[in-house]
Amino acid sequence: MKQSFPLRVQHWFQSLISFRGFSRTWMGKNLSMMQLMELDACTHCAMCTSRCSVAIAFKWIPNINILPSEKIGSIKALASGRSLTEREIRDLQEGVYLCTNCHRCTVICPVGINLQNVWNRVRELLLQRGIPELSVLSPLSYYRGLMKEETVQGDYDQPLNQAREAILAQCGLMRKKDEVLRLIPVDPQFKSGLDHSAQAKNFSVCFGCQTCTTVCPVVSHYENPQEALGLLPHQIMHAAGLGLRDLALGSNMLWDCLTCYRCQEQCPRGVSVTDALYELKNLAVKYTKGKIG
Amino acid sequence: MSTTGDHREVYWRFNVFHRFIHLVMMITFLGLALTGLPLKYPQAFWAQGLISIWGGVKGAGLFHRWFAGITFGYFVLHLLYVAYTLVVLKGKLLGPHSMVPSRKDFQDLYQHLRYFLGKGSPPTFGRFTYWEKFDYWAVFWGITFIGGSGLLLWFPEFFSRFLPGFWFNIAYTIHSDEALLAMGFIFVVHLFNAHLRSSVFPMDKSIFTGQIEAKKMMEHHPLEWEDLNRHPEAKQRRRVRKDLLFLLFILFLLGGLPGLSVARGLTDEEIKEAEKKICLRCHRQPNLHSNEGIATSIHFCMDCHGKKDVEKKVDGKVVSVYIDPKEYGKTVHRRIACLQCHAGVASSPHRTHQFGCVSCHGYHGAGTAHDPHRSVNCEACHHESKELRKDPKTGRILLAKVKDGMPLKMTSHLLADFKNEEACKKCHFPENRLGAPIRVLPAKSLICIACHSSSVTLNDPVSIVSALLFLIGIGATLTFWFQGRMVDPSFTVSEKLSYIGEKAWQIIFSRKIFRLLKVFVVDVLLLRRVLKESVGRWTIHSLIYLPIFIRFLIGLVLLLLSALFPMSSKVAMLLDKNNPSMAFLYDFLGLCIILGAMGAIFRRVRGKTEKAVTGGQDYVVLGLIGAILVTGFWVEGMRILLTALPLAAALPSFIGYPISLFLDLFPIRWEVVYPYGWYAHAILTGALIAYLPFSKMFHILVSPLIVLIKSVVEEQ
Repeated sequence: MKQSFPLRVQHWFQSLISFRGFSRTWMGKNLSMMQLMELDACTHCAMCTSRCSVAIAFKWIPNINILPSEKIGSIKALASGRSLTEREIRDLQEGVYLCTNCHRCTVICPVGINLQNVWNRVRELLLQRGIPELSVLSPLSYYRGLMKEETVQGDYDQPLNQAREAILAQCGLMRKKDEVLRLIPVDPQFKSGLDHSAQAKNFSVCFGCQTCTTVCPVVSHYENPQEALGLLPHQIMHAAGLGLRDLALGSNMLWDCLTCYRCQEQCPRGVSVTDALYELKNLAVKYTKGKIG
Repeated sequence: MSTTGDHREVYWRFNVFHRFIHLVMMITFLGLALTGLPLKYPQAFWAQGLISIWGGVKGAGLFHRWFAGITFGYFVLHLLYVAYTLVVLKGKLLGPHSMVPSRKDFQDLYQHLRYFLGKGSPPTFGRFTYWEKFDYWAVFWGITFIGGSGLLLWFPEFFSRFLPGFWFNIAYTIHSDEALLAMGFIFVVHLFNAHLRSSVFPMDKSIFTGQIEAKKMMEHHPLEWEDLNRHPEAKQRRRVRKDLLFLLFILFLLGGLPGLSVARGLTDEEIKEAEKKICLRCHRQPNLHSNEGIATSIHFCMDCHGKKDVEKKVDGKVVSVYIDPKEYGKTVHRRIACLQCHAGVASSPHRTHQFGCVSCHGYHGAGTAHDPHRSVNCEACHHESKELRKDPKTGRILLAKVKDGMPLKMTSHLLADFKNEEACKKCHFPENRLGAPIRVLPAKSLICIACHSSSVTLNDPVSIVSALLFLIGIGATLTFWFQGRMVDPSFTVSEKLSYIGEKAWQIIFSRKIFRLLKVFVVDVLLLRRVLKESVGRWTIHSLIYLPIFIRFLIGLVLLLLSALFPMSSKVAMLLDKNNPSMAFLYDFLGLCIILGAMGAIFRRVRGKTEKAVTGGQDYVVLGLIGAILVTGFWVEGMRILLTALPLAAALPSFIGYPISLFLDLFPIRWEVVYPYGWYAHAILTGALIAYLPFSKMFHILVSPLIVLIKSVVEEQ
């Protein structure tokens, strides 16, 4: 993500002045006065960043808001009324979401700023805006709902719903179950895109024995799994093997998978079913992000 | 007691009449204080300015009597109102609605004092608390006594018909001293009690609006609140008939009129007549503190110096030492004995060694003289003579007695006009030989106090602009902060202020203050938490901010000391830039800051700060600090070079002095460069100050604040 030179110069000059507007802002109104003072008290010494447990993610995800010392700058900009682009706000949303709540930043801060509280508060606020945060779908992310005092109880699982709605909107087949698919053209890019990890690209050897589907606890949970989930694991493997992108990404099975690895352990052909599901999920997220960003 | 009920509901506490009388009293009291004070302290520096507001002594007297008339008016009105309440409204002289102290008030006081010491619960008050009653009676007796004694002083001819003379001396003492007491009480006790109590901070508006919120009523006057709720009809009682009020208003206006018609000062003829009779009879000794003694002393000197042919020899040349009595009569010192300034002249040899200006006048600070000018004698600037010289031995600037081989007449005693800067140009002109910069530079202003002892002025454009930008930044910051939530999301700004005030008082007057002090030393000054993390970072940070903090502290203390002890030669010595220990200290601290800034830049260039994305702000701020220090030392070097300080005085400036030697190598006229260097230093400083609230450097104010708040306030 290399910026053009004039843009970098413009950003450099912008960073020289901490913008201050005289009007109340949405973010400012919702933070406590103490937190607003804390935003001003930050010296940008970056001790928090040097101790952050997810700072390492910055190596792979080029989002500066993952680093706490930069995150706080973006929050301050938002609270003081500098108009951020939608893209910047989304980056901030991802930044505050990618946090393990380990409190290290708060413990280390030489000024004693309660950074963790700021992240929590801002996270709830941003998630409430209704812009889907797709990281919420990662099975590695423990489930985070809205935990604000004033939130209606039904809104608790709003973040997850938002993300799934966003995926749904892009992968239409999840909704329209009786759509007649055109088998041509097949997306050859799609199939070759599924080989990020070595162990996940062996799905083409699947011969459709249905062992994976039979042992799947999610499938066995439903009376009529086809109706509830769409494609079942063995079908997904097959669709992937055929390079049918719409079909492979359009199954609820992807998002209901518990990642218990039973299917992968039992597969007689040694297909890494669960890993392949991961790949597909990542692909769906990437695809959706590209569409809504 | 029911705890339900609308908290936004208001109760009536004062009726229109109460509020009206209080407002009038407030205005007339301030008027009386402002007209009376300059008469009580005519010597004070503010007296002249204050009295000129009223158009001089006569005007002040006139206004004083007019305000007094109104005071009598509302006093009578109040008595009438009390009578009306008692007779027509059938009110009771005693009881909960009365101002008469009851036994409960003394119990309340005792209980309150116990509560302040941490024992028991606070007392529950009725309609009026004991201190409100005290305030009332203080005013009541104040008006009686001050007003009564004032009447005696106003109409002495009338009262002296039946009172002995010493009554007037007593009246004067009572009138002025009790008035001072009243002012002290109002400005210190009453205002604080009424508005700065933690529970009503920032202001209790009920005496102006007449209303009090139910919440506060419950809290401050629980008994009254209970009473009003038990008898709802009583809520309507707090009214006064409008037509009656109108009548009283007319009466009040008339009350002020006698003051206007009677008030008049003595005529000039009357004063002259009185002086002839009194002064010249008693004072026979040449006492320099009396008018007669001064006159005698002047006559004694003028016996010789008043003759046209009196002469003396300077360098073998004859000079007249004649002083024209008429000319002398025009100087401001005409009422001062010659011996007062020409101290020691009444002895042999008949010569003045030093003028004792500072025995009457204080040293002036950086504000009045743009720079203390400690190496310049008073008379060098203040005498109207334009010829000055520099004493080669001490480096001091003195009046010249010889010009181009011709001795100068020193007969004039007129002073230079300091209303404009023209007077300064007798030194500050191009090609001067005194080492003065060729241009008159502004005073060190308030923004300089971060590092220098300076004045509380903002006169030059650089300071004004930077201070204005700084204030705008602070204002924006406060609005930024106050949009945030506090306790209850529905809090208004004034409720937030009130809450903060309450918390602040509770902390300051509790044991937590010691924790605050400890945290201030350990975490703010010594930065324990930074030290724990990185020694290198701590060293660099301390090298920059501790010296600035120490210099700021010195500036602040010296400002305070010079305001408290303007005549003290010790304070003047500390303000002197060439004082060896101060010069050394300032240079040393400056060196520390430069080293710190260099270290910080080095760390950043080398990329030692691991994952931090170093912004441009770092370089701008560090560059500014470095540039301020470099220009500062450069200007100091020029100053040492230009004023040609003797080696012993220059050596303690262990950086400035070598710089001055280095500068001397260049064939440049540094007195021309000096003003530009000075302004460069000032503009850089102004830029840093203005930049402060808009940059991360604002942390130097906010971070300590947060650390301190966090140490005593637990988060919600």
